[in-house]
Order: sequence, then structure tokens, then C-alpha cells
Amino acid sequence: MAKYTCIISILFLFVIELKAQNENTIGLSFGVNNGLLKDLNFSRLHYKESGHLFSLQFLRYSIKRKDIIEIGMDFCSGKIKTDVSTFLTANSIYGKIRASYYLHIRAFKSNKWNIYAGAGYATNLLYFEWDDNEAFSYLATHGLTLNFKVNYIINKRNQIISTISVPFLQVLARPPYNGRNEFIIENENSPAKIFLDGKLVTFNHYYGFSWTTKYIFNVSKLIDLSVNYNLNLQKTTGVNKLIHLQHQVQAGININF
Amino acid sequence: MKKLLYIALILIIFSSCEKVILGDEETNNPINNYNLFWNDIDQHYGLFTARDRNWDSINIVFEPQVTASTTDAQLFAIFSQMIEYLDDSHTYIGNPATNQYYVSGNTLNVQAIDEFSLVLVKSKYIDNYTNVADNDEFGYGKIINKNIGYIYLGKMDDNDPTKIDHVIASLKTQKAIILDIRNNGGGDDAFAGRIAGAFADGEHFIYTVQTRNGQKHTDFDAISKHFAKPQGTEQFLKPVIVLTDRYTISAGEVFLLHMKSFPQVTQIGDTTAGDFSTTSNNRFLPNGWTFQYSIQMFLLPNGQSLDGTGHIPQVYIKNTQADISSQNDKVIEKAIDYLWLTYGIQ
Repeated sequence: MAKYTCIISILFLFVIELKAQNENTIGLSFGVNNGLLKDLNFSRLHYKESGHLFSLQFLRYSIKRKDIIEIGMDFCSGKIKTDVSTFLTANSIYGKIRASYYLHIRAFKSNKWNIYAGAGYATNLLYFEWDDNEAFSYLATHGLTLNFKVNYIINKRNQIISTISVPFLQVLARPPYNGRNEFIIENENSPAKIFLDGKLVTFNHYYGFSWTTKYIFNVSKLIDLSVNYNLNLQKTTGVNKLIHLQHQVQAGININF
Repeated sequence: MKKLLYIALILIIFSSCEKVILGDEETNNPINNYNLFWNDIDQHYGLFTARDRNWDSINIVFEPQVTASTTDAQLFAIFSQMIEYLDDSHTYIGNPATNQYYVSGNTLNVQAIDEFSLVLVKSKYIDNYTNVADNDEFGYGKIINKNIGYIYLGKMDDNDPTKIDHVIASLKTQKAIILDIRNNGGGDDAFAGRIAGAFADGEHFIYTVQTRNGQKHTDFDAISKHFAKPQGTEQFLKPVIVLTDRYTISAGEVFLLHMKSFPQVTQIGDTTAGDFSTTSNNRFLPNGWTFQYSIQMFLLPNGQSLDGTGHIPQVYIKNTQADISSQNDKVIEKAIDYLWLTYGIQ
């Protein structure tokens, strides 16, 4: 019992210390995802993507240094459809885990505008399959991003934050030339191995951006409400190139502590 | 602030335009569908060399037959004739909307379906047939009044291939086993290897696999070597007769690659289909049709391909539909005779 009391006390002191130096936010948001997809490894047809999106985010703002640490994850499950035939509708899954650090660069107009720049890490997975894996394809990236953030404080209760993230060095995992090979077949029950089996690339093989604009309404000291729009684009080059664009709109709640 | 909003709005509107982002959509007309179909197979099919097929000659014959006014029925007939030339039952063309499918090289396979009856085998030749899987496509029993076990495998696919260990434990007192893989439509090569491991006398190098990985017909990735090896709690090393027919296909034939490397195994029945390769992902055409083809090349350790040839049995015999109708399975009877004449087992 004494052991648990000790741990709880340490945690309590840690939270107080955290609160003294930082402002922390945990956010949860739900929304819709719509997109466009063309993946020559999967099909030569154009697909429209739709589905629901769930995101979780932790943000820490340092009061003293004004820098920001963000950790988040997105998950989207949905369908990709082609105009050609309803029989070709396929399932899609999209997921992202990201961690970023932003350095405060500049503030102006009485601190109403704040500009940040930083870098981050993101793992990004797109998977779609038709008719119980009779056809499938995927894109997985694991790598570094350059990030920029602009924060405009409208007034005490309202602010807009716009962030752009550009991947610049990635481990890119894509299906082989013919969609599957012995490696895929042998590891079909170990998808993590497949999604980690990539090659190191930069802008010549993979490029894109993720742009987020978020409006935040401060309800109380503890709670914010937010609405955000994300525009994500990713492209690969080569024989079986992929183009994927997403529009995402989400509403969320943030707890400040 | 206003400027920023305008820029954002323009960016969103611009990025909503499908054509700008994805480029031109493939047009749905007979000529483009034909070109996509021919090119896709040309650039991905894995067995042009192994099966000695000249795909360019197909283009010379069929391309002039496709015009803007070609009907769907005519185009489907043309595609069917094109893939029939490949004589590869892993290759098909289909229209999911009308449920119309054509499978290449499938005539004899379909015929073989009616030349076997598990119901007949179970009722006339087997005692206590017990299902191992949820259906009777994996089961075992004992030949009536003989010391011979019987196993039927109708597909190489089940959640748990280790179930074979229980079957072997149940049949280990038998003097021989007849392992029936007639009408086996294939499935999972790893499943096939695990089942065969219950009969392995040791490790054997049995075949190589390469997957096509480029636009030339001869572009393949690195060789992957495959071995048969003992797996499971115990091995059945007494005589085993494997029964095959023309509808023993794909992973069923890979299973035979394993089994025929063991000295106690004899293949009796008809020559198998000769279709080993893993299939491609399903491919899609602008008219909504789907198709699929072989993407790999399986070779024996000596470099020989059995694609298009199949496994030729040591003892050739096949049923006719009339045999099945008259309640006789000549193949299983031949296997029982063979065990008596060769090993004195009854």
C-alpha cells in the first residue's frame, strides 16, 4: 500500500510541476474523410475514398520557451469506390502516428501572430483490399518531416492554428512490381514485417504534404472545442505510382491541464 | 488574414478537381479495354517462357478484331480465346456484374469434377469416415476390411494444418495410407507443406520460386528455394499412395512436390492440372470486368518446369463419369490392388 501511495504522490507532484512549466492539452476528434486515389499497383482506375476519421492528440506548450511538442494519431476506416462499377468497391484503412517538435520563431502584432518551425517523425499507413484480399495494395512510410505552424489569436476565446508538414526522408514500403511475391506470401500473417520492408527515399520517389487548419474555441480554462480541416497529399513515382489526396473535416474536444 | 483565407480556399477548390490530381481517367471503350488487358498480361504474366507462349502472336490475331463497335459479348469471347491460348487455369476473365467468368485451360478440370465422388468413396470403400475440418473436405477413415488408412484432402486450406498430427496418430497402426487429393482445388502452399511434413523422411530440396518483377518476359526476382521437411509430432513412413486427378491443382500440386520427394510415396491416378504459380491480384478494367493470371515460375531443382505438364503419375488410371454413375471408383481400387501386389498389404 505504501508503495502505491508513494507512486501516486510522485505522479501528483509531477503533474503539479508539469502544470507550472507547461500547458498541456489532450484532444479527441471525430470527423469525415473524403479523398481521391489512383494506385497503379492496385488498378488503373480512379477511386473516390470516403470514411470516418478518429484522431487523438497530445500537445505540450512550454510557457517559458514557447516551444511545442505534439504527439498524435489518426485512424480512418472506409471505402474506395470507382465510377465504373459498384462491384469494384474496396475497403480502405488509413492510419498515422506522428510526433513533432516546434520551435517558436517569431511573434508579432502584440503576440497575436506566432510562427513556429520544427521537425517530426511520422508513420503513415494506407491499405486497401477488394473481395477479401483478392486484390490489395498498400503504402507505408516511416520517416522525418519538416513542420511549420502559424498561430493567430483572434481574441481570448478564439484562435486559428495552421500547420503544414512536409515529409523529406522516408522508409517507403510498397508492394512489389507484381503486387505480391514470396516475401508477401510468407509474411501475410505478419503485416508489420511487410509494412516495415521498405527502402529509404526522398523527394525523388515520394513526396507530399499534410496541411491542417484548426479553429479553437475556448469554453473554459479546462475545455476547448475545435473544428479542423486537413488536406493530405502523397505521391510516389516509378512504374506503379500512387497518388492519394484526402480532405478531412473533424470536430473535437480538448482538455487542458 | 483575408488573403490567407483566399489562398486556402483556392487550394481546397483546386485540390477537389479529380482530373487535376489523378490525371485522365481510362476511357471505357472496347479498344482501350483490349489494350489494357493485353498490355497488363504482357507486362506481368509469369509463364510465357515456361509455357513457351508467344503473347505477341495473340495481339496480331485479335487486335484487328476489336473496334469501337465491338459488343461486350464479342469482347468477352475475344478475351476468352486470348487467355485460352495460355492454357493456365490460374488465368480468368470475368464480369462480376453478370457473374460471367471464363477460366483458361479449364475444360478437363471441370470434366474431372464428375469423375470423382467423395460420397461414393465414403459409402463403398471407407469405414468410419471422420471429418477433421468443419466440412468433409478434410477427413479420414479406414479402407473397409483392410489395414489401410484413408485421408481425403479436398483443398489445401484450413485454419489449422496441425490437425494432420491427430490424423496420423489415429492411423499409425495401419500398414499403409491412401491419401486422396482428387478434386483438390488448391489453397495455401504453406498448409500443403505442413500436411506433407507428417510423411517426410527427412529434408529434401524440392523446388524454386521466382516472381516476375519487370516488363520483360524474362524479368524475375531472386530464386527462393523450398524444402520438404518433417513437421509435427510423428511421421508416417510406411507406404503412402497419393491419388490424383486432373482437378488436382495449384497448392494440391505443390503438396505433390513435397510428397513425391519421399521414398515411400507413389502417385496413382490422372496427371494433375499443371498450374503451380501464385495468382496475381485481381485486375480491373474500365468496363468493370476483372481478370487474374499467374505471376510466378516454379521450377524443379533441375530447372524443369511442370507448369502446363503437371505431375505424371507412376500408375496412370482415371475414372469416367460412367464409372462413378455405376458406383465404381477404379482409382481407389487400383491403389488397394497396388498395395497388395507391391507390398503385400491388405
